[in-house]
Amino acid sequence: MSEYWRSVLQACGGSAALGAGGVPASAATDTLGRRELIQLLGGSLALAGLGGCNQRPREQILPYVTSPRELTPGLPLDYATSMELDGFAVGLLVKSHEGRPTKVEGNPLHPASLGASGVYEQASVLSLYDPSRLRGPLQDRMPVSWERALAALQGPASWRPWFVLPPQSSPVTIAWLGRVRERYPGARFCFHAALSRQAHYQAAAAAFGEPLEAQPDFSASRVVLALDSDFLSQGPMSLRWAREFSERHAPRVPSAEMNRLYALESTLSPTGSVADHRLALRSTDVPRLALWLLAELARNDARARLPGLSALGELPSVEGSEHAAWVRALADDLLRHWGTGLVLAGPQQSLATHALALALNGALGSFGRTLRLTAPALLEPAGAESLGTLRAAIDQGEVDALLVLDCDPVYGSDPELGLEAAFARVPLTVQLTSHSNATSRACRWLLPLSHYLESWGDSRALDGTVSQVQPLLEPLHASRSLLEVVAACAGAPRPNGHALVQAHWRSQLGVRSVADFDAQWATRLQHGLQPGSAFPELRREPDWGRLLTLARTALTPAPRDGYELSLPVSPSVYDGRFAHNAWLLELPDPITKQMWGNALRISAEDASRLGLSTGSVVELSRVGRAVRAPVLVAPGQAPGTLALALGFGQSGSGTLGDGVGVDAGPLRAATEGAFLRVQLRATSQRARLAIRQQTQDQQGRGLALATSLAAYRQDPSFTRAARGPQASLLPVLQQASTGPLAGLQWGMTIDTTLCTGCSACVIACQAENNVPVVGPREAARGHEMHWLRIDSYAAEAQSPVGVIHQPMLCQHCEAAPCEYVCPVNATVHSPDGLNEMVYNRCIGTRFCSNNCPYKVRRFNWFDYSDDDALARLQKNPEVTVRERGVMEKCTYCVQRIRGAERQARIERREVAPGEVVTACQQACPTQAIQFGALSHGGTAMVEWRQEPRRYSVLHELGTRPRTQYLAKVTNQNPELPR
Amino acid sequence: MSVAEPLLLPTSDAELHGKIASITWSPRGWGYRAALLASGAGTLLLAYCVSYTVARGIGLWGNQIPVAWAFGIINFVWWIGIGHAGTFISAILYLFEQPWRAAINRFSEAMTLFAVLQAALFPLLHLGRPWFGYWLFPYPSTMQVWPQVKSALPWDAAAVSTYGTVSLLFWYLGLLPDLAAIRDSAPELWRRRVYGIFALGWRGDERTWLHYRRAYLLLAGLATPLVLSVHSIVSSDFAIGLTPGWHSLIFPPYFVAGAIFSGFAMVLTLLIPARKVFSLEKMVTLRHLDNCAKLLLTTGLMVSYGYLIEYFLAWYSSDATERYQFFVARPSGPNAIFWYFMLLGNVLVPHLFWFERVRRNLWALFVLSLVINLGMWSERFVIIVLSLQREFMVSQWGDYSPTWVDLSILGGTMCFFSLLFLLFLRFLPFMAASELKELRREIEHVPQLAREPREREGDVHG
Amino acid sequence: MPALFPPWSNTALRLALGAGALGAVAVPAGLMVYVRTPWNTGQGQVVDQPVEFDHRHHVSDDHIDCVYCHSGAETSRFAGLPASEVCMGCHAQIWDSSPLLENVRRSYFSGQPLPWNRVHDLGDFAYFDHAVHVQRGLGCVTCHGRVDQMARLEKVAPLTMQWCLDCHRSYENALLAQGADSSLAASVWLDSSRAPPQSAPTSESGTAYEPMRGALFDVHVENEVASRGSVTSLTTCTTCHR
Repeated sequence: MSEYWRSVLQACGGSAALGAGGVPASAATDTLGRRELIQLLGGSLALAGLGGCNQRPREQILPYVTSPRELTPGLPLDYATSMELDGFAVGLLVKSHEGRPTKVEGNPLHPASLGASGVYEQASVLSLYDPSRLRGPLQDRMPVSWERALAALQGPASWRPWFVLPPQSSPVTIAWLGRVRERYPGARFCFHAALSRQAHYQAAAAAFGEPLEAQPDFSASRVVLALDSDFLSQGPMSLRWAREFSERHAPRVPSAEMNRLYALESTLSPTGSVADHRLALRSTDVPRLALWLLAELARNDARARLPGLSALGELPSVEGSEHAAWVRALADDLLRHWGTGLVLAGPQQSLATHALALALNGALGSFGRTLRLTAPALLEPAGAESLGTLRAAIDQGEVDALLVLDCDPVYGSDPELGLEAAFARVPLTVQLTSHSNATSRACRWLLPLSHYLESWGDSRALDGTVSQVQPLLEPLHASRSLLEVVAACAGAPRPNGHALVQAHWRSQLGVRSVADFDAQWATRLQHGLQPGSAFPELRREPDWGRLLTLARTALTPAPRDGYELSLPVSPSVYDGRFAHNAWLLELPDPITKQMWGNALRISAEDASRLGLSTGSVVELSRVGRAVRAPVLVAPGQAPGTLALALGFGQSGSGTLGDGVGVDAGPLRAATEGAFLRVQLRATSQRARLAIRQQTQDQQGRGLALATSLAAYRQDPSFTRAARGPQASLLPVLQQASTGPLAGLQWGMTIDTTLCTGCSACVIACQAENNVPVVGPREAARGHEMHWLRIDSYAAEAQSPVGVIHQPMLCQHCEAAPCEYVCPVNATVHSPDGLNEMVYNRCIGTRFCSNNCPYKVRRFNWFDYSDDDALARLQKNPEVTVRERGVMEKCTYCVQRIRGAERQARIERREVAPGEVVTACQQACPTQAIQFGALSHGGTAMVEWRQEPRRYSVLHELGTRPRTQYLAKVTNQNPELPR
Repeated sequence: MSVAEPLLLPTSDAELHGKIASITWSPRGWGYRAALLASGAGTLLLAYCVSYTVARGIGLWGNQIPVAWAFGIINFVWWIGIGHAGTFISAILYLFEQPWRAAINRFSEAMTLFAVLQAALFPLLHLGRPWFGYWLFPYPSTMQVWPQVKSALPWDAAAVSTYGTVSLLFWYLGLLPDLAAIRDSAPELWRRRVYGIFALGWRGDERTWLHYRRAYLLLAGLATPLVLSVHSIVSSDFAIGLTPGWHSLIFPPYFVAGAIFSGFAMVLTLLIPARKVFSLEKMVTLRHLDNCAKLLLTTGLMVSYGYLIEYFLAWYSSDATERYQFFVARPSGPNAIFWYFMLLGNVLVPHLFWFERVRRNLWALFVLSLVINLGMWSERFVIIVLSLQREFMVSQWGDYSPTWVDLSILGGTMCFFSLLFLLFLRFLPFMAASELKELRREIEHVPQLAREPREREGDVHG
Repeated sequence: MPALFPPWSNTALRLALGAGALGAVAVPAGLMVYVRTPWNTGQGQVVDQPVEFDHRHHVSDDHIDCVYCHSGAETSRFAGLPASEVCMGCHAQIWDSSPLLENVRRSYFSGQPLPWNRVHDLGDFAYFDHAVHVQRGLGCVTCHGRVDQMARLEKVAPLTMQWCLDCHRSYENALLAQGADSSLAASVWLDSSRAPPQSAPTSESGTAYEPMRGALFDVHVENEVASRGSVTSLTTCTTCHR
């Protein structure tokens, strides 16, 4: 078992050894041996003795032998690089302390980031140090040298290697894949992605003759329709899209115009939770609804009458459908905003839906206005080969070698495909992967994959921008990057990522001289991207007829027997590739708030009908195959539909993800697409789920406020009860305490209208502040440590609002209830308005937590500090690693505040507006969190606080929180019945 | 009103002496040995769990966010409450010159002392970093940081330690004459030596008695305010918080009442069996038990009144959170069972003591005293756990359940308590022999004293 | 019946009681005194180092700036220790065969760092920053003492929280005292007899550093800032604990 396993799951039943100095690692076991008891007695006595005196063990200082030029110990450096997910890049800035990457932020210059970052990017730095990574090449589980491994990847010209790898946008990798093909004409590439955009490209190919990319532009769109699409939190450009969408979704003044979002989906997603109108229905009914809509548009408006509609024959009418009113109102709204509408289809939707999405966009005149056509960034976007063709080729013995690069096709693939068995029949099976997984069991060669922070390379964002991938450190283990391995297959001797990338671009960029190239290269490394490399917009006249023939399947209603099971990617571990990452495993789901695992989401109606409650185990079955899973009664789930997140229930990988959650793989069927029809049977079993939030019902307490735009305009100051000065029996005190405050007074404003619940802030906080992970058992006991949590409240009945996401962190009350109850002054107020927590003074009475009405304080019940040698490298040296027995909580990233002040003092100036940015604020894709000084007028933080919809949570308690909120406002369509 | 029983049935100094002193050197039966063994084992379990907790962390307990306080503080408040009866009897009843205290004061003082010992364990143990517990006391540290006097906890530390010290002195002072008596009558020399050391050279001459009386009176005066202050301070651990269910001005008085209530319950729990085992019917008459029961009734009514006010204010405040706490969470929330135990033990049971038949029925008294102990423990559970389970932020509601360590520590303290008490019964005079002898004399001279205590003042001081 | 105890036992008992009472007071008091003594703070304790480095020689005789070796002092949280190459910069030419420098040469050629033993060790929960102290005109001497007179480096300040606070509560006085005392005059340069070298280290803002004026100028600036209402006092907990 790996060190990491012990240190993270120690509190969950792992082994428990006494740590140094008699401080035990944890309370893993509930029993003690005689010897251990004596040890403990001794240990505790020793502790009692040691505690008093401040003698520390002798420390050593090891200076450099030759000091690196750019590096001064104690001053961190930022490097620009990019992270690739399913083939598309997001540009990042990574902080490095003395050569250790510690924190990931978005690259403001990068089009796919705009300075923001998501959970996957934020958590990726922990994966770098993950001790469960493969450490060296293995042949039949026996260590071998890289030389031998790479040598094995060669073959005669007649060789027919198959590559299974993620979609590729990297120019240099694509070039080398080309060379592979030159060398081995029989080579085949099968691109495997969790969220494949193939359906879109196929539809586009039908419409335009080539698989063009469609780039939505939210800055120009007024009405957005999401067809089962979670574009705000998933997908290659979601960070940018979320920013652009939300910039037009925030009513800075009551009179402001908001864009309007309609969402059709079966399972409540972050996008659905911020939609102004959300229709919960079976995902398989989405194409039919889209078709109705198209017909409705065509009937009502000539502009929307596409040529080639005849391909669909007699247009079906929504008449008589339960959704008739909804579709009509939607159609009217879209036509009213003709030219500023936008329709997006989710990656899991069928080809028909994507065809209809393009058609609807055409009917609404979106092309060239809100939707730009460009060349695709991917190689073979429509996909030449699939796992099915691979299986067939294996059966015909046409596969001499199988190279699975950086993906796990076996996990969650159709069991009928029998990939695992098929692989065994291939002479040479190689997997390049960072962690062993389901596919590894079927491969004879295992090659460790370098983390992107260890690799040279490049990639493209969805809009084509060439993004630089540069390493921050030498590979920690004997690992290679995907590029290097591909190059090796193409016959490159001793491939080296740096050389490969430079050579490629030296030829690509028309450089005149070496100096010229070096200059270009330097700027490129500095910016993390190739300026001006985005694809130009293309103008194409679509062939509507060919496109709409693809939509014919939507004419026939989808079968309604059984339950519809969808398998969305997990918002934490994605398709399982991050199932080793402790931060992501412990991250509460944005909607269900479940930590450590997945559960079968079921609608309240179905649950009550079957007598199920959250935690009861059910059996899902399909064509004789069955899977048992605990159910979770989820808000917004469409009746008759179920959802089980991908990526869980792995086994034998030796990572933290083993045995966490359920894998629905056995139910899969390649033929049925993304949505399976399953039978459901209740069992008598129950499972204990780690769910952070018991109920999403506010009990009418007005903790999180919301209204509709119309109502907001009528009564702008509807939050009056939850803000403003308090009536007091002691006016003198009142005045004294609320009097003008000097200097920089820190505060935070959070706009709940913008928050999608994506939880990037939660991970960012965890990474920045060394917040420990406690493991499933501890998390289920209410011992989780997140400083920043997102409370989500489902709307009360017939309220206009969907879900309110309320990021909840220390409110830094001006009259803080935690402060006056601390017996030892361990939590006190700073002159600049921070509620300070002094760990090394805390003795752990926990009185402060009892007295905190917001319950944002967290206690180190055991020694959660990670003592794994590798994982320790990630810790932020600017923040104390807390010991067992002390209280901790959000500090407004005080280390960043004091750091800025230090710099200002040195430079003999004052801290500038916007100079201090908290980790959560920096990560937030929609910029819903604003931080700064109250005296810095003109900053968003201050101006938001003037808005009439501002309020403070539990205002009536008179704690005067420095963290204030803006009530959620939704933009309803008045004609739409709820 | 009841017919007054005699305070002391006819007896002789010799008998008194024999009953109280000679017990310390008469051999013990197997029953005693078994009890000693059992409680000793339980005490070991306690030691185990305590060191386990210190070594591994509070995570071993059921505590969590939002319920950051639980068994630790419950047990603390419960034990310290029990500790109140002793001082009440020996100090306040002494000042009010209630002769019936003589028979039971030593008992209850010991009980107080041992209960406070149990209680004193928890404030330290429930700290996240117990080894820094001394930061609760004001001393000039090189950190130039001082305790925070706005918090109730430093005062807690002060109050409990003071109370412990005073109870010890009070108890020991009272012991002196009887220790001397044992010293003078013990058979073996070594025994005489040992008791001699602790008797501090008591001579029993007039001067000694004079000083002794004065000191005793002074200590009684000193201890009396403590009876009221200690639990008031303990109650402010909650009263100063803004948690619904804690944030209440009624706490100090009704905590004190509750303390004495539970204290007397424990006195009965201990006294009734001891009376039987050592056949003390002559010294501990039904009159004593009857008085205790009456006190239970009085204090029980005070406690009930406290509850009444709490609920009235919750309703009157018309604050949603308060109302939810009192009218939904407590009767129907998780762990609501303890709320019903609380009502049973502290509100219903005392009313049985209106009936003389109950007050004079040993079995009834014994069983009911146990129920009251349970009720008082439940009260603390309700106040602490049920309040924290359902606080302001709906998103952070949590249900509490204890771990085996919690339960072992609670049971362990009970065993430790009984261990100490058994040893006390074995090695020390468990009744104030000197005072009883004195009382006997008084009764000889003023026979009706045994019946109407009120006339006594007139006779003695007239 | 014979007396149980000899006559002296009364005295013995009284003495015992007295001793007990005394101990109850003396033991805590003693502990409080102890933690303030060098036995606990480690002042003046001699620490063995891998190389017998003599500050007297390098500073007083050779007039080498502190920041020549401790180059981080003006920009970084750590003053830093010189890389072996810095030592060898000179000692490749002079004393290049001295046995005293054997470890330095071995480190330089083997690439293994020299394991110096820490003399000034703050708790890891205390975030001390050299740059801001030095840049605000505080001299090395103020905390490290007359290193130029030390054969072997030793700790002169107790480095207790109390000691830090004393200065943080009234830093103007500290700076002025430093300005008044000529031996402390030069802020960074211990050797006041010598003007700052041409290669005067510059703060990150690029302003050339002028020690003597620096100190007073700082006081001036501090007051200015204070009057402008910058409230982050130097005694706020999070100034040092994060």
